[in-house]
Amino acid sequence: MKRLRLKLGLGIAALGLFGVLSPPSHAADKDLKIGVVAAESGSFVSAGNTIVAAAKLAATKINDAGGIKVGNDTYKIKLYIRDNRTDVNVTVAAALELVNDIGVSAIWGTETHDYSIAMAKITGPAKVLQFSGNSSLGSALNAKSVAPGAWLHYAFQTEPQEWQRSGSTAKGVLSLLTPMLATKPVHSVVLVGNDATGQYLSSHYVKALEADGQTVDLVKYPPDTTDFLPILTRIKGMKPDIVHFWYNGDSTLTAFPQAEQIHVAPAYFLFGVDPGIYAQRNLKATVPVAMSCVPECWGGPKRPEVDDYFTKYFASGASKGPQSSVSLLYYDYFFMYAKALTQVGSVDNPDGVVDALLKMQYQGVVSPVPLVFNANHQVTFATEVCVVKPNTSDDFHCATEQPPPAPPPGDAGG
Amino acid sequence: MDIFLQQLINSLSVASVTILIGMGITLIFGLAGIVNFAHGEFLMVGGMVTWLLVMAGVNFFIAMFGAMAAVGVLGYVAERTLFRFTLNRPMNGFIMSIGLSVILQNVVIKALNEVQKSIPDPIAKVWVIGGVDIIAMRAIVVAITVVVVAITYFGITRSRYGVALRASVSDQDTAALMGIPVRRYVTGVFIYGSVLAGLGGALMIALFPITPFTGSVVIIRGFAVSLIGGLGNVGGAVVGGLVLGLVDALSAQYGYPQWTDAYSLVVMIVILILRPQGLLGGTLGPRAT
Amino acid sequence: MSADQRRDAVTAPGFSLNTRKTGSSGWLERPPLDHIVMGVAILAFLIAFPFFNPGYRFLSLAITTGFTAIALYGLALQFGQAGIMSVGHAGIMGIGGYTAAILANQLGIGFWLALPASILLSALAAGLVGLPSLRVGGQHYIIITFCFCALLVIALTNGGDFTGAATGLDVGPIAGPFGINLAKLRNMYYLVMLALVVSLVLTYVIVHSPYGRTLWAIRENEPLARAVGINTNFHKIGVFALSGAFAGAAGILQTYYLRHISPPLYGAFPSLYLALMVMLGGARPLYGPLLGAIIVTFLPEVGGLDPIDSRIAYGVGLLLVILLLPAGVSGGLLGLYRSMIGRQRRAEKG
Repeated sequence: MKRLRLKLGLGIAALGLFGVLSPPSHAADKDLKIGVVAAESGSFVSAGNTIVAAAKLAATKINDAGGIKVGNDTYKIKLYIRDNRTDVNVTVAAALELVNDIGVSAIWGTETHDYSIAMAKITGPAKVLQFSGNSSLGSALNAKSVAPGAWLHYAFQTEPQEWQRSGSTAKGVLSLLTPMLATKPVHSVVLVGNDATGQYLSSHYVKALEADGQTVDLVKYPPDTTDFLPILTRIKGMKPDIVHFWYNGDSTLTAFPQAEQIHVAPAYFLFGVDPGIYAQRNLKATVPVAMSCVPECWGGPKRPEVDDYFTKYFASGASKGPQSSVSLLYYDYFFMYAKALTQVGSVDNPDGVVDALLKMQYQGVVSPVPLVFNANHQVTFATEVCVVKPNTSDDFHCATEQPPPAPPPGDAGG
Repeated sequence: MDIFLQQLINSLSVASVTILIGMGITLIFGLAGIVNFAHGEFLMVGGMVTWLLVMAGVNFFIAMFGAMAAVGVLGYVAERTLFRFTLNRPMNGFIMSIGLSVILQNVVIKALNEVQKSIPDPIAKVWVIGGVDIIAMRAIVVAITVVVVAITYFGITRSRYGVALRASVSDQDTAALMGIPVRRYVTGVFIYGSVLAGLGGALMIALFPITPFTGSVVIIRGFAVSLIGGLGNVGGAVVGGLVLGLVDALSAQYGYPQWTDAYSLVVMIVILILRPQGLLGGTLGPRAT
Repeated sequence: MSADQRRDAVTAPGFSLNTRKTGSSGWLERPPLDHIVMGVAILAFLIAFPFFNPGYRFLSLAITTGFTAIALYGLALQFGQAGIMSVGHAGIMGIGGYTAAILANQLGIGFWLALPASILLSALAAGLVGLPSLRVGGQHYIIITFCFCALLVIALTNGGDFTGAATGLDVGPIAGPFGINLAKLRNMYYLVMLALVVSLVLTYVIVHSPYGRTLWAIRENEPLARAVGINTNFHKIGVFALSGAFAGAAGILQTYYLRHISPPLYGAFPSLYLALMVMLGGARPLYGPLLGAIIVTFLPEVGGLDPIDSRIAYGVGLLLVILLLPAGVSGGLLGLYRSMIGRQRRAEKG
């Protein structure tokens, strides 16, 4: 008995040794090098971290499921994560390093329009795919710039076109708020930070509101404003039915309580403020407040796939911030890219991969309907809009709005 | 009209924090001859200390004194270890203070993070008087500023301490011969200015969120206010703060909103060029450079 | 020797370029041997750098160092020679950068024709921004330059299609002469380094020309200089314009390296860091600004520091430099080197 146990023990030890010495069973797997460029430090860190977290979740899931079959080989994703330090020079250096020194086949990032554009000038000529979640890329993506050989041929915009997002948001906000107001709202004021994203986004949102019958005043504030009282006082004098706090979540969370102090309007809309944040900060207003998430709310009612995603996302240590949901703009496209590689059967055929992506339909987490890239390399999906009852912090109801079929009058699209 | 009155009221609370920081700078600059670019960071640290204390459950008004004490100590240490070595070379002191401001800003980012910090309104009451909203907390900030300005003004102009201080500004050697401990007075003024920055930080976070970068915005306005008013001139700092507050509120109301910050920048440049000695005249510092 | 005396002694511009030797005559003083040796060594290193296979990351950071250093040489002229500090230098770079980008977008003018325009307009802007310095003191002027920078950013942000608003402007690659492909990083590196060497030589020439001596006279004793008939105001504005010309060259190189520029690049914060780099490296020693740019660009990379830690390190470095080596890091090294040479010579004699 003792001897048997000894033998057994030796056997197990031998097996263990064998296991250590012998190459792992997936030794034949090759590395698929993918770069991630995002702010892990500096002032954009809260947005940057969501990209890194999404990339890690996606890579782990793909690798754990056995990797990517491309031709006769199996590839495991190897992420090369580079901190852009919220600095355009470092972003360029990182992209050059990833493309030329490391030889990645695709790059995810960045959180900033300017940096993504600067990076596209490096990835494009090198035929490296780039997935960026900046809707403002729409200002650069067009038939000419995405044509084969042009500088954005390998760039993909993983957030819907702004006229689509603005359209679905405007419709959702108005349809949720109107029944809660004494009179039908006709006059909207859009308050937006005067930076690249704010200027681009608000130009489309104003058109969308006008298409839905609103008269709109657009008020732009300097991006670093913290005392909104003077500007809010001015807006109060305009007697708006709804004030739309657009784009920057942090600024909105500063401006909104100040607006409530002096009762600027009978209803508010907070863009990019998750119901989860509203509840977490215990915010309250005496009037109805609508809010929307980019692209899905982590703190509101949600589909099981989204719920599952955020459970894993927060379990991985990511923080529950105003920007958390942005990570969903980066997740699904790892799976689309993997599928495209499998279809093409080679990792050295970026043109083939671009073609495959443009033909593909993929059912991801971010949208209940399959994701499709249009001819300008942009996706389409719905927007979730929620409204909280007056004097409560967590009594929400939400609706998912589909984007309109075409840009509103006066909006050139993009 | 309501809106106009509202904007006038708004400008007072905007001006208060600027006056507190400008007054600190003007005293340190005008009486001690130290150019402290890190003064904005002192304010930011004051705000962050308040935030930490309030988050730990301390009442805001107690936390405010905590912030004043903490920044006072910070000022004492900075004066003792850094600025006393550059008293004879103000430009070197100024450069060093830029280094200090970079250090403080980034130490705070490292210790906390770069996300903006805010506290719940210490007092949430809003009074409506004649169609004008008066936010209680902003009124309290204005009241505290008025009290601090009065104390400082009488301290400088009427007390023995203030007279001795001004004597040591106009002629250090004679003042020293007359038994005035000049060095100790310099340290004292530096600490007092720092305490004012701590108070400014506490009052600021009571009104709106602050970030580690707040200091670098505040310092320019503070400097402008102290220069516009005339160095060492407390009344001048008050006038300068009110002018900037008014320009801000009125430009937000009547100007192009996206140019809001530009109006006060232009006003600062124009006044600095036209009246370098300040609107009310100042001491020009013990050793104007 | 009391603490104050000691500090005064080291604060004196002892290790500067301006050490006057009696009997130096001629239009341009001959550079001392150690300057030439150092210059040749730096030149050799710059040419050889890409052949050490530094990788694209380091090569691109070297380019950043290059154009930053060019801007710093301008700031160093203004601060070191005229004694006037500014925290608006990034704004002047922005004038150069936007001039190039606007010419490219509005008129289709490329790098080589835009280069003189950028340099000229930046010089003009710097001269204009410098005007108030004739009237107001150093601290006032610092605030004014800061306001200028903030105003410039606001104007660029609200400039509509002309300035590309907050989004900024794009430019294409530089059309290389003789078929040189300047989209290739190594070639871009050599272009920037060529510009850097030109700036370095120009700085030396300016400082040691009769003009440099005039500036030196103004800085040391302005009333006296005026009394002997020097038009001090004219010369001071001249330094600003020269300084702006360097910034303009740096700005256009940065624009064509990044190929996309936007207003925040030229705000008060980048300006403050330029000032910090000059002071860290030393404004007067010939290699000071270059050293400042190298330290700030490469310290986080080599030391593996995140940007927060490295900024704390710059801050601490600046404090130490002022307290211990007021002539900057390079000045300190130079002083150390000279005192060693001196000791050696004494030893030889003895």
